[in-house]
Amino acid sequence: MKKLIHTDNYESFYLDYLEGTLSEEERIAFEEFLAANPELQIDEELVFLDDTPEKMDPLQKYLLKKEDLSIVTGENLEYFAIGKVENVLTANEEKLFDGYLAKHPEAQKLVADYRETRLQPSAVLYPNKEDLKEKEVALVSWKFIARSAAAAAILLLFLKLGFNNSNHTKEGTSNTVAQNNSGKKNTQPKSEDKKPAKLVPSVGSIGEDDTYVAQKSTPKNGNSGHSNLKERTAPVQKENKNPEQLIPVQPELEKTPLAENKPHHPTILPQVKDDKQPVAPTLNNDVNKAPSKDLASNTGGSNMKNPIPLITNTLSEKTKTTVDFQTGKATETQKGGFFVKIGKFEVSHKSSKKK
Amino acid sequence: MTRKEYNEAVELYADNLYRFVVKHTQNRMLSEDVVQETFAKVWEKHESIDASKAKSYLFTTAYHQMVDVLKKEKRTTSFEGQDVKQDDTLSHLFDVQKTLQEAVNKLPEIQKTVILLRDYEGYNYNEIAEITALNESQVKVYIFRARQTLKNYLKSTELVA
Repeated sequence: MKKLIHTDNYESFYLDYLEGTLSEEERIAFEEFLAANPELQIDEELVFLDDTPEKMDPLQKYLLKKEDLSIVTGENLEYFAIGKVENVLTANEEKLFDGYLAKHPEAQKLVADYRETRLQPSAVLYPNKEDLKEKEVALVSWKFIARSAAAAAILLLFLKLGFNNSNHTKEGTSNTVAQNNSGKKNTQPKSEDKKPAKLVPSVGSIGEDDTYVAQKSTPKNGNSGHSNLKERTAPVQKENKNPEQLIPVQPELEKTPLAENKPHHPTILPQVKDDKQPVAPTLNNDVNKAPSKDLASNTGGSNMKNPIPLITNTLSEKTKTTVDFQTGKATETQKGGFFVKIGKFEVSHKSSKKK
Repeated sequence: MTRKEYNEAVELYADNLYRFVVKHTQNRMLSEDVVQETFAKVWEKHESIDASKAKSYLFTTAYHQMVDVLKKEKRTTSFEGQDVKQDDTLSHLFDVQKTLQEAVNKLPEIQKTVILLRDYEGYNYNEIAEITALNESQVKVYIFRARQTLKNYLKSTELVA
């Protein structure tokens, strides 16, 4: 052999030997060298990678697929079994597997085994649940309380107005009499000029439109009024069986703080030109002459009038607070709307003029 | 989510959340901390959370909180107070369930998480994917693998006839 193989160069010969590229002469010489130096022999498995193909778990393979399986085999059986337990098989797969299960009882056992792997929820309670909750803190400002009280008062006012209105409605147009009040205790009309006006309920809603109209009328029963204030005021809040008790009457001015040193005007009730359409309120002659103690009435130039003077004045007296309510319908010349005043609290709304 | 809805969420989900964490960590003290921290985080953002998604939000937060805590625990000390095995409520499980719980504890973390969410809370794959920030296919793979492992474990203990 031309080339001498020794321990300093044997590796290159070894690689060529393993790859089979040595000549016959070299191969014989290298084998003789390995036989003389057995400690230099290496395990061939460590040199060459095992190229035997790895088989993927069939379950993983079927999980990667994005199409329905059309046949159940031993290879994809676990996929179907777990899928059935998990209830994630498609309708076709479910049908296919049910058919397979009917024919293969051993597969039913596999499904039962997988059902056993489902954890049964057990009760584990968190020990300090109440500590996790955020406590409710009631923070109510005085402003809120004041506004709520004012809103409640307004609501009460409107409810009373509605109650009064409904009573008038029940009575109809025949016997309800609006009586002038000149501020005297005796409210009985003194002459024919002071005939009471008949109240006619309108179709409008309270606060938006005028709800009553004033018409000159002589009550059918001939009873034109009362001499006693108590008799007139009390029934308004009760059942108004007696139509005459519906008459809104101004209480005594002396008892009303608002009335002091102020001219008094009577209650102004709107009227309608016909019996259906409510129009802007107008004053009959008797009413025009009477003074008023309502705040809004004294502003002048407005058609805003108090349709419930009895209630507002009574409330004023009882609460020792200014209580006023004015309402008026828009006319061609003047705006309509409503105005509520309770103490220092005022609410008003103006509607545009009629065109 | 209002204060009232938040408190309702505490009432409805605190126990479930606690169970999810305690089954995962096997540590009650740690689990209580995780639940407490989870609700604290949710309350911080309660105004921007839709009440109808409160449960999902809670579990998502708890899961991430738990993962963070477990990482810290592994870095620092071994599980102190790993006391769930002495818990009476857990010792009353049926044999199969008890063995199954052991098997669950041997599952890789992510498989354990998806199985607990699936079996205890009844979440679907999509919901679990949202909570764990996985995709639906990954969730499916993890659940299927976990089922296979659990079945084999039960088989090996011959509890499954």
